[in-house]
Amino acid sequence: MNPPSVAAACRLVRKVYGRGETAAVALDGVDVALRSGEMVALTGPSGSGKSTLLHLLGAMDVPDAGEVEVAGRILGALDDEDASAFRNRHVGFVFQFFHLIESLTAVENVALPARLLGLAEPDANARALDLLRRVGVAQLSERFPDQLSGGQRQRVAVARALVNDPVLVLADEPTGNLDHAAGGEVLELLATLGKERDVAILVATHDPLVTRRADREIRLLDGKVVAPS
Amino acid sequence: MSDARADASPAGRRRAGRARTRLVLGVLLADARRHRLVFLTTLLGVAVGIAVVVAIRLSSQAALESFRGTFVSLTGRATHQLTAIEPMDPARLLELRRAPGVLAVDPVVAATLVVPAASPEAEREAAHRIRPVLSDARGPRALRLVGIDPFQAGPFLELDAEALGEAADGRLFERMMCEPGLVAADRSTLASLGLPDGGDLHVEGPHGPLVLHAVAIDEPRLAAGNPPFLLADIATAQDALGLGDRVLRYDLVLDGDGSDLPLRKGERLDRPERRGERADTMTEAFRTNLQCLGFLAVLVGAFLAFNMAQFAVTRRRTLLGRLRCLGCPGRDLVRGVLAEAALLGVAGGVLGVAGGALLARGMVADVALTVSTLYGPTDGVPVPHLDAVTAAAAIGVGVLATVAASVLPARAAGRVAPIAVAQGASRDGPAPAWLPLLLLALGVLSLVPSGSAAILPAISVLCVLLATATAMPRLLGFVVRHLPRGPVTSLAAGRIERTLGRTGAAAGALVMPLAMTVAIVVMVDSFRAEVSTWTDAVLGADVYAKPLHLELAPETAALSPELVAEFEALPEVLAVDRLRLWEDPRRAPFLVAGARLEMIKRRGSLRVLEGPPLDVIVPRLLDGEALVSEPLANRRGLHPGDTLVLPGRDGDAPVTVAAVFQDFSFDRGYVLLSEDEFVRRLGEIPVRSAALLLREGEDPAALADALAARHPDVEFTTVARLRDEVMAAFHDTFAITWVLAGISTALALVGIVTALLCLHLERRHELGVLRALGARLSVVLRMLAVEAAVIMGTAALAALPAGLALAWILVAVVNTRSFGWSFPMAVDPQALLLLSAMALGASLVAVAVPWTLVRRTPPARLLETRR
Repeated sequence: MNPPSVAAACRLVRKVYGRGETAAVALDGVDVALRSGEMVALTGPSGSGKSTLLHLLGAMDVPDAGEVEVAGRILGALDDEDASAFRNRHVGFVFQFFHLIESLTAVENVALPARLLGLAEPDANARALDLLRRVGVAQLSERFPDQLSGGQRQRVAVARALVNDPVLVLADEPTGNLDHAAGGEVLELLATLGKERDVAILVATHDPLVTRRADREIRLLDGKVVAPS
Repeated sequence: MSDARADASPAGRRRAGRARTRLVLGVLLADARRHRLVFLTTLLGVAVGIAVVVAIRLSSQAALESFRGTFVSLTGRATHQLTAIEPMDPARLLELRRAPGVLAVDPVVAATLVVPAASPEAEREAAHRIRPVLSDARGPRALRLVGIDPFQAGPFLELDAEALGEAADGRLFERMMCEPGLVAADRSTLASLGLPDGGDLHVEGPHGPLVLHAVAIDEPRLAAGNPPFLLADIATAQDALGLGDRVLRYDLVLDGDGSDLPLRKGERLDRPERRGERADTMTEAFRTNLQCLGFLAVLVGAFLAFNMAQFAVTRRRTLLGRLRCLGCPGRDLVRGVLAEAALLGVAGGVLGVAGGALLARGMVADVALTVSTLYGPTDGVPVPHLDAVTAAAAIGVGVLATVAASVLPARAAGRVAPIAVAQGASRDGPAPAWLPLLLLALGVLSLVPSGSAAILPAISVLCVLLATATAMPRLLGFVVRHLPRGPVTSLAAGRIERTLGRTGAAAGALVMPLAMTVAIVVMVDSFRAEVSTWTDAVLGADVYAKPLHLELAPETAALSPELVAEFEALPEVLAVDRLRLWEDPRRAPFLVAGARLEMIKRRGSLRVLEGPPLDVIVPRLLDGEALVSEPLANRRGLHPGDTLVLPGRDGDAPVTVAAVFQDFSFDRGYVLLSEDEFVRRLGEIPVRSAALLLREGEDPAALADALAARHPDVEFTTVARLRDEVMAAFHDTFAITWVLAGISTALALVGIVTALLCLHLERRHELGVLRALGARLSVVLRMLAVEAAVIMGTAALAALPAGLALAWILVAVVNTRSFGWSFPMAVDPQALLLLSAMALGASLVAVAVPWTLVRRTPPARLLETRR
């Protein structure tokens, strides 16, 4: 068995918002690596830099210093067009507020990244249905988001994050808007599917349940990685 | 603490309710401050709508007052005026003075004189316009000479006693009587003519140039008339106008209604203010049409306000839900939202009034041009004045529009459940399906009564517009449900479908001016085509001659008998048709013309709409029957064989209608008699214009130039140039229409862009999600483009049939009832091209703004907006 490869890494990353007196250091020399198949809890108080780190790893922002590498690509060098294509192909997102497109059905939501990738509708839908089945909501595939419960919506969001077989899934408080049971189920799904598909999962969270279920924890404080508490 | 809860009496509950409403209003206003862009855009929409109405009212008021000014002369305190077709016997003065019930009599001689242009070039330039009415400092100017009898005029004049005491060394009346040619004018009039006090004033009278001696008086009321007044002794005026000792009218102060005053044959007794009323009646259709176009802008503004109110309620669902959680009853939320709308209306109204006053100054020239082209001369560009009534009414309209537009959204606000705190923006639905159908039915029903000139057809137009606008959400829903499904179209369709109420309202705001533009283009094109055919048919002569200042001084300008005789003697000339015109709105609301009928006899220059062939008509005209123009026939329900009462110097007498003919030159309508019949009825009224029919092979342009060189005080026009002038006048008639349609469309464009921008701001987290999922900017651009194309395309598609229906109302109903004209409707592809161009332009703008915002915003920022 091959040792797990590094799916994503940040090397001495620094990110500052604002200038002069109003400058706020969001990340300061962050050095982390995520291996394929592992689920990592990213913890820290509000304002510690969790969201910024997710945005950098998701190619939605660029660092002021240091390097962000995902799936063997240095992200800082990507222009908007390439960054979009990269996100679509290699990164999946799960958000606290689900962020499903309210005008699309569950299956259409899940198929959307695949269609953006260029898959034909039947293929994309087949892939989406397969994943919906995997996350346990296939019977709700034709429902719109506002016809689903919070837990169901988050399952759809997890399916959407995985539809293009990414190397990295970034989850921002995925259980933050769910009850304890639903949160636990979604977490379990993420962990299981991540292992199955060899996907690195980084979960920004305040939820101790996530921290306990994760393979390891990265703790941020004032933009720096500190030892887990 | 004496809180409201403790006071359970009805008054106490009311007080508590008011306090809560104020509280809600405060919270809503604080929210509006946070979303300044949206609030300011709504404010702008309302303000522009109001500004257009105010500008239309002020500019049309000023232009019509200016026109009215040429109608109403210095009547002072006269209760009645006695007039006749021809100048009146001076001996009537004594008879009238002795008549029962007559408290005072003043013989009056009033006529318009022309101050020639500063240069011959300016004179010619002005004369070449078919209606040289907006004279500038360089062009010819008109002055109203009023001759009074200083011994009799005392009870009539309302001149300032102090000003009279100071003018002409305190001897104004004395000098006026003793110095022939002395006239008095307000100091500002003399200044505008570049004359000093006591300077010589060179004018054109009916019998050639005159030199008057002008003294200044500080009496602004003399300058307020249009044209400005020159006050003279009656003998000076009689000399200037060549009247001998006859007078043009008697002003009377009567004790009673004058019914017992003995009148001579052909005389008529009128109340002076009725002259103004007649001017108002004449221009009623114009004012109504203009106001309708103005209200189109308010409608567009109200739709924007509706859109914004709906958007605000949806955007504030969480805020409203929190207020509900905190115990605020739904009805207080309704009141709060309506109070905010009222404040918006007041602010928009105040801004609109200020903007409208400014806009009126820019528009007044166009309005005056249209008024003068339609109805007759106005002198100079009138200055609009803002009055308190207009300002208050405009603010009232603003409040009414915004409050009415906010009723439905406010009710929706009142129904927001406290649980909305946990929910985001929600779906909003279209207006009830019965609303457009009801409006359409109302529109059709408004056309049924045939009596109303302008109001009911105008209501019909507004109903059709509103029906189309309120149907837009459902039409949009239908279109998006039938879009081919792809990832991009699905997203775009979904975004529209979830906000059908708001998107539909924005599209409704756009569809109204689009439809109106189609209607106006089709109507004007149809009209233009018919007028062009008509001019080809009726301009049967080769050269036309008229006095240079005919439009400025129509009552005194004439071609001398010697000049007409000279035309007849020219070797190139086959025949001369000469036209005599009689016009006195006090006696008849139409014109009476007398002609030799040479053009009809020799060239068949008449389009008969109803009646026998020309070879039958001509002998009947020579036997004393009359031709009646279509507008008059429509207004009076006249057909061949009917009789019409015509005024005459010997009193009113009926005339038989021989035929109805097509005419677009006077919407008041006119009656055409043979010259002999005209003179028999109305006397030797001077020849107003002449039409020269040349022999085969003669060059009209060469003859016109040769005659112009010999007679600088007469304007000679070839038929080709006259045709161009008619078409130019036609264009002038619609000058203001285009301005207003343009403003409404621009307003709607602002609205649609704002609406799309609001939708974008509301839902941009969706774009953030898309970007997070890897959608390229090009995908976002395509999605925005599809959204805009669907909205604009649907609006354009709906605007086309609606515009054609409106065009039919304008052509077949409004024109026939308001102006008496009828012409077939012709649809020019130009209308479709214009519509497509407007929709395309709107789409480009609608895409460009949100696209620019998305392009400049990093995906991470877009995602954050949901929280």
